[in-house]
Amino acid sequence: MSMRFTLGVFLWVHLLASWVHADTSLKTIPDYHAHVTDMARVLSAADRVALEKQLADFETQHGSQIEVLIVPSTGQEDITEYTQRVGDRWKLGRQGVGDGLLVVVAVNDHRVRIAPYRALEAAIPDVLAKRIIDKNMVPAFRQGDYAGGLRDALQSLQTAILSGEQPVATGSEASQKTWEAQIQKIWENFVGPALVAGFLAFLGLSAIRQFLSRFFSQSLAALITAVLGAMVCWRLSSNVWFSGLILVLGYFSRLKYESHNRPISRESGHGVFRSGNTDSQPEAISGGGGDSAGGGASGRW
Amino acid sequence: MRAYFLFTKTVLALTLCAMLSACGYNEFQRLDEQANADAKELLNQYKRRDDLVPNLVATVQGEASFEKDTLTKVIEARAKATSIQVSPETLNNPEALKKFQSAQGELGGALSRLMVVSERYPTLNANQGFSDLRVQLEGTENRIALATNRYIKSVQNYNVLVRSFPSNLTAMAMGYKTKEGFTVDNEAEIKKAPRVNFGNP
Repeated sequence: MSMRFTLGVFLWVHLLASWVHADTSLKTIPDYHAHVTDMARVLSAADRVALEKQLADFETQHGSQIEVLIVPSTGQEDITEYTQRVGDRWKLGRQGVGDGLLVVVAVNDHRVRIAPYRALEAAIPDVLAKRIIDKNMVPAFRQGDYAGGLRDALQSLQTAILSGEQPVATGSEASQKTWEAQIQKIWENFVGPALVAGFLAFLGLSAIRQFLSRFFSQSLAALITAVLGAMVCWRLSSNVWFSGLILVLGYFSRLKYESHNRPISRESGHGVFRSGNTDSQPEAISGGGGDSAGGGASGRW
Repeated sequence: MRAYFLFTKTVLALTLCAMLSACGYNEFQRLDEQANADAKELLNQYKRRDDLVPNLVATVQGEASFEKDTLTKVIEARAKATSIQVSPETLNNPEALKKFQSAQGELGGALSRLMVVSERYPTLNANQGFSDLRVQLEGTENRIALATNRYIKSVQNYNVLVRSFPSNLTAMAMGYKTKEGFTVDNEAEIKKAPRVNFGNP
């Protein structure tokens, strides 16, 4: 009981400490819910609605998503970093196009930033963004006319987006390409060689096993083959996966001969688990694990 | 039976694939690609800065009385930085990476010095071309900082995968090594206390 109490107190103190700590660090980013998010309450309701409409209309007509965030302050952070964090969190723009644009105003800091996402960087180069800030925003903001400054600036930005090169969907195409490249890479680097090597190893190991089974019992021959193959593979490539593969293959190399030797019984569908070398059955199961292990367990010769 | 043989092989191949994905093989490929992409982006941004410098130099040279020393340093640093050819692959080579980083760091330092010095020239500051270049340079520096951060982070993700269990077994088997990340290029300078000199700048 007292133990639980102590634990509880400890947890609460911890929680409180982390909360206090969080309060002194970076400003939290508001959740995205509208085109214009006015945390500093400098816009009148009518102005906000008008700006909303200006941005919503543009988005429905031309696709590019422009958002405005007005905060009292960005805290210890530079507005550049804060905007970056907001941008990374909000992920504006159409999917596969990424044509978003973020305008952040920090009222008490007297800072503003226009941050086009990658797809709009061509339409709105840094210099243009700076000019729009200097020409449209700064004079109006100085007089406290945030709505007017934003309206003109957004108008200029929209004009620039329309007159610039229209962003086209490249994201999905690009991602598909890397996906294809990756499949190819996996194939070239691993699956292809593994299949080829596996096939060759299977044939070779089967032969060795057949030879060994003249001197040893079935299961012992399989075991020796498997270990021998794996050791050779390890010496050659010192690759765990290939060696493990050889180990498994070596052990199951009997399957081939088994199936060669009893085609009729398999086809006719009875006597699958023929009695013969009974001691090989449990080993086969523990070695492979899957369905194939069960099939190879009967070990006829 | 042939069909049975094929079946066994398929099952084995599938098991192998399952084993691989469980041990993070695909994750290695993904994070490797990510780190390469981030490295390319970073190199792009450095290239962008390199391309800005000639314009900047030309504009500043228009200001006849401009400090020759500062300007020369920028030109020399730029020449040095562009003479080092890098690709994302060579970034895996620690020595090449170090050389590249120090050259770019030198250029960055020379450029920021140039910008500070230029504050003293009113005609230069009034020049529209120069202020445009200043904005571009700022934007590029910001992009470089961001790209560097992202590259460092993706290298970190990759390295964590290389070292943590069980993916470290895959890394060992396939010979994947940890990547050399970026370090702060002027570590020694940062450690030194700043010298404030109000006398003669």
